[in-house]
Amino acid sequence: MNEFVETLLDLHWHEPKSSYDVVIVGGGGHGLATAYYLATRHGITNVAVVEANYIGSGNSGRNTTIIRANYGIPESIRFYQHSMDLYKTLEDDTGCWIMHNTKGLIWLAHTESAMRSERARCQLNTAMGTETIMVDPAEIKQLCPQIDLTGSGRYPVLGASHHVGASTARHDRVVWAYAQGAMRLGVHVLQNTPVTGLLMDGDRVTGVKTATGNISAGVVMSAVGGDVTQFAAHAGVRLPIRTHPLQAFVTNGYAQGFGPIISDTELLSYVSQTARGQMLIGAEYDRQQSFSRQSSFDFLQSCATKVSYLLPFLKNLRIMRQWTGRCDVSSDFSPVMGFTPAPGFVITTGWGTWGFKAIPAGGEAMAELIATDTTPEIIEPFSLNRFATDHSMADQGSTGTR
Amino acid sequence: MPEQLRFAHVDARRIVAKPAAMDAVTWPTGTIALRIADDDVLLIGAGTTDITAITDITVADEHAIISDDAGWSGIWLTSAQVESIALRHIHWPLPPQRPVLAQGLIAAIPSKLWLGPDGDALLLVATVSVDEMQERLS
Amino acid sequence: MTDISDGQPQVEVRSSATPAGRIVIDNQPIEFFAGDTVAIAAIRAGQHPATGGTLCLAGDCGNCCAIVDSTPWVRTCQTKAKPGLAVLRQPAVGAPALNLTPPKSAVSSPIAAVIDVRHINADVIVVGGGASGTAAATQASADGHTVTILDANEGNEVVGIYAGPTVIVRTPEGMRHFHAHEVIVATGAADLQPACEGNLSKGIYTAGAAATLAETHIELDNALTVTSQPVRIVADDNGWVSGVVTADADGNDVLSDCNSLIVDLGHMGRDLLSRMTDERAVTIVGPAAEHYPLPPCPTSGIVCSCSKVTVEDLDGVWLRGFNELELVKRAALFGTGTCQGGVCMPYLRSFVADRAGSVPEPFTARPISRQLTIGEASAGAYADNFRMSPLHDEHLKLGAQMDRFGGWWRPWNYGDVLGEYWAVREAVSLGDVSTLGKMVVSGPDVVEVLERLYPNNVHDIKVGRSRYVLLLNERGHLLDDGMICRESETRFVLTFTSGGASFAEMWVRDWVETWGLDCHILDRTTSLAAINVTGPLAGELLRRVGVAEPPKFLQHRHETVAGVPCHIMRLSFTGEASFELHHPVHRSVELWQTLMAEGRALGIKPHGLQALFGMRLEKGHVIVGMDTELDSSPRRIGMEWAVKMGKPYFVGLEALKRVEPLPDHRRLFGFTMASPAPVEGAPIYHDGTIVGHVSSSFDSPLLGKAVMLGWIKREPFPDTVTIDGRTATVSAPPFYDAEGRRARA
Repeated sequence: MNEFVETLLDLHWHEPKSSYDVVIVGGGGHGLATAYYLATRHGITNVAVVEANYIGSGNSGRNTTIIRANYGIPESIRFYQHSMDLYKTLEDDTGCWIMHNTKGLIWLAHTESAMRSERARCQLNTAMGTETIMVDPAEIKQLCPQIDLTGSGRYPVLGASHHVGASTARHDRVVWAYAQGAMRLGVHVLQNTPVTGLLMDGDRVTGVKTATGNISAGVVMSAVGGDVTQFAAHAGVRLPIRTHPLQAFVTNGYAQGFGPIISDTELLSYVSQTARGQMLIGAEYDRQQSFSRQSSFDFLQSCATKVSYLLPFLKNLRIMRQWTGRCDVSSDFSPVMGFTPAPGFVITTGWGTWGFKAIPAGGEAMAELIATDTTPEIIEPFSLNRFATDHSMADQGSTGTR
Repeated sequence: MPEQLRFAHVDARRIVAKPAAMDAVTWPTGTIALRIADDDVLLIGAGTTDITAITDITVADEHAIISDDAGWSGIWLTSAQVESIALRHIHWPLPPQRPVLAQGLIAAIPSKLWLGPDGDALLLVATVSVDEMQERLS
Repeated sequence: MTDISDGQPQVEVRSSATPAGRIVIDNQPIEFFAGDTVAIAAIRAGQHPATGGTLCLAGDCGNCCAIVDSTPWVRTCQTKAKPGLAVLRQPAVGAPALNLTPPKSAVSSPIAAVIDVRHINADVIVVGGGASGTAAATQASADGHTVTILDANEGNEVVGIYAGPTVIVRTPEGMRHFHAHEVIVATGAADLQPACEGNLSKGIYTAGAAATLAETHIELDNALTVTSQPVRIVADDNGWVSGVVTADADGNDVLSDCNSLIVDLGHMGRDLLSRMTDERAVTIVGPAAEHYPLPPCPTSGIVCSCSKVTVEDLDGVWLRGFNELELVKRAALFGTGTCQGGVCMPYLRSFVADRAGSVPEPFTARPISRQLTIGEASAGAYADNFRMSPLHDEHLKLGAQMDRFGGWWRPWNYGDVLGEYWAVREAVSLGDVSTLGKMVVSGPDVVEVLERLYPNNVHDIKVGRSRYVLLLNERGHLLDDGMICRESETRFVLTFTSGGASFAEMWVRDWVETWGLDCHILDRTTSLAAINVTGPLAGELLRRVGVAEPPKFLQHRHETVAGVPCHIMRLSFTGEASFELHHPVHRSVELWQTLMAEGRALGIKPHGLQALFGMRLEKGHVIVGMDTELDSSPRRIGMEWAVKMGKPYFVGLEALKRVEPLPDHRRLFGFTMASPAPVEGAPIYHDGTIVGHVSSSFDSPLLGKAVMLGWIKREPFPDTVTIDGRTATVSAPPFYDAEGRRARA
């Protein structure tokens, strides 16, 4: 027995029916959280979450588990801050141990222009009630004794923004916590059920086609990751989304000894230590578009190099495993949530490299949207029609991409 | 790499013209024409030739761009040096024929490698990256 | 046989060879013989290399991992012993400490570059030198291929097979990256490990491990071999095997005493490496490709020794509804340690098959196969290539603080920002603008190309004149800005920003080819350096270095300056008369030094980016990427004047036409307020709510107040706003010399 074997959760599976009020396609964090909030907040339990593989098998199980809200536009800061707040109480709300741990995120700057960006980030975050403060190299060293402030002589640290409330949680457990909560209230979660198409009545979506039969639905929500452009095409919906691979790796486990999350725009990478003691390291998504989940050595090499400049002690750690997720990136680097031109078909996508942290707020808002047939104010800026109305939400700098 | 490689400025002429016009040119003796693309030649002096003194380059293309190109630094390498660099810094197979121009990333910097008929070779990089290149190769 | 172990003598050394040296395990010296691995040296000395667990001695399991030369999690069975090697056992419970001091040995050095990395182009690579590998190699050779065999036992540990196929190999000499045509995986079979109570004791060996020990002349003491899953393994107080309980034909437990236990339970395909790749040029042969029968479902003990997962744990999560192999794995963290499921997978499949009634596929194998350190992974990588202007050393000599900007090293300041500012405003100054993108375009269709590329008019630019232009993408959003200079009817010089230069050539070339127009392109960004001579005395300085009649505003021409051939472009970003001198890179230092020397009497000082950013802000000039977002249209930044919507076509026109009738809700404005200037990025408030942010700010020495550019995202756009708790006035730039007299002077 190791201390991390799951002992609290119970998953109660159901036999599928041929009709539901709501069918959610995609059994990842966003799909299951939406089902959870439909059931808990709105009493809507005649819901199926249809998953092609096993729950959490997509990007929910492939991310670097960072929860933060230090974005660059007010609408995003507000949304992600709300998600952080929901994360803080998720263990109490669901009775699950998601290994939520507030550790703070240090976003390093090596150039004057990066310092300018971090100062700007702090200004707007603070104004929006999110605690992000500038820290000088001595303070950075205190927060993270392992850091080499000279950046191995190549990337000297001029300063950083410190996003005090940033945290991590175990990704699988977040998925399961929402699954358990939803299933206990009667939501059906159907694993190994790939959706092959949509049932249409004119331009209205009325259900999903699966390998094992059709399922009709009052509302179909796409919480698909990776294949979302192809999936939405079944409803005749074109999305301003490009899909890129995103890779990460972990080392073997070590005793706890690395406090914060370290991030960096120039050496685009993230480093944190998991509850199990592994060093979890990621970088920006691959430049080329692809639906592939093959990992590359080029990534491993370049990412290992980047983090070694800042944290030379890492060089001595053994890499255990690398993997690849798929990022759906919208043209303005902000998520897309809400109604589509196809009646009966709502969508949550564009989660790029920032989907995990948004699971609670995204699920809560999509549940409200489905339950009330109205877009909640907090996600109004992220609706799909913003592209048609020239209200795009460019926030590339703070999404951890470039 | 045991030795420190020292690159030096290489005078060059650059000719951009229609491929057919380019094919028809007989390049002045004492020059090496590096055909870096169908429509693009980097002309350098071989041996003691001063390429900047060669002004009578004519191409049958009235819109051809013919200009000095001062942006290159280069170093002549022995075949052993080429082999050693290839082993550590080139991720692609060198073409077998000689003479031949090979182009691509060398030590992750865009480079031109002219492999001469006698085993010697000229490695060219943009001067703006030459310090970085020297550091990487040493 | 010396007994320095914590237990009893376990082995007998039959060889009469002399030891090759000593290693140190937990501060105790141990002799080793030539060819010994650390694990074998430990066994020879009557020790377990770790704290317990069945040993395979084949690099499959993680039971021999230790801290070797301050690197934790090293498989000691794959590590050759060498004199003085320091080995520490990892704690039996918990994890080794995060090492805060950089390692010392060569292979895991803090300087990745010292790890030798070689790129080897290969024909056929065979992974595994056993029977199947040798057979495959022989066949490939007979077929005329050049074959390279990589065998872990020979020190060539294959870390992964990646696209290409590229085979990454860790060797004692360094990293080897093989770029192969074809890869044959012949990794053979691994021994099944015991899954029963007591299987983490010391003194248990797989049959393969026992054979390896026999080859190295180690005879196990009082060894017993079992060929079916033991019921239980019994250990003494020190954790060493003292007996094994097996079931007899009637199912009764039988205890047999032994000091060493050899478990011979059969095999599993060693398929981790082959399952990690979907590269088409990889074939799998021999036992690695075979489907071995699964062992019976385990009933007790630890089944995943890396993560210490017991059968009870598996049952626990199964009963909690984790009813898929992947869910069981994730809920129990099964197979997520060093072996990555390499030796425990059959038991998990067997467990799930037993509970679910059907045999599941193995869980996904993810690279890497043989653990390497982050230092080893990074070996051979290069840092970002930051380019240097030819004037780099000149800037350093003048005391410049250099900063990376747009992919280049550029002077941020020369230690006197205010002095630099006043030199531009009142005398003359030099700025290094070598980093600008520069391109020559020439051809019969060149005007058509540029009309389509730029939203401004191009055809009416006269020869010898230039024009400021925006570059838009298909969405009508700002990509870049720059100048176009007409050299003849069919030839132009284009400039791009330093950051934009990196994509400019591809952008222009792609469009020209898309349109099928006849136009030559030559990118001269790295061939030409450029110095901006700016200030009210800039013209005077040019006259002093031989330019009798400097060009007028927005004129350009080729002329020799101080003996250096230059393309002189008269424009203005600073607000003062400015002459950009574009010249050959290798003459740049000479030109700079001459200008500095001749300018001394005029009060010349060079200026860095910091002063430049302030001066251009006084003029209200936008910096693409600083004041603009990636979805900034010309209208939003107040530059509709640079867009001719009446043109038949330009890149972005369709998108702009589509949004033209839509209400504008976001716009870049100029603001002024009393000093001090707010921090760039400061939120802008109106009626107590945030309506935008400051994108640039500067305390203007000349105007004695703060000038700003900033975004307002709210309609109707307000006239006054609150920034930094103070009132700021919306004020259309330029804030300085609005008529542009100084630039034209």
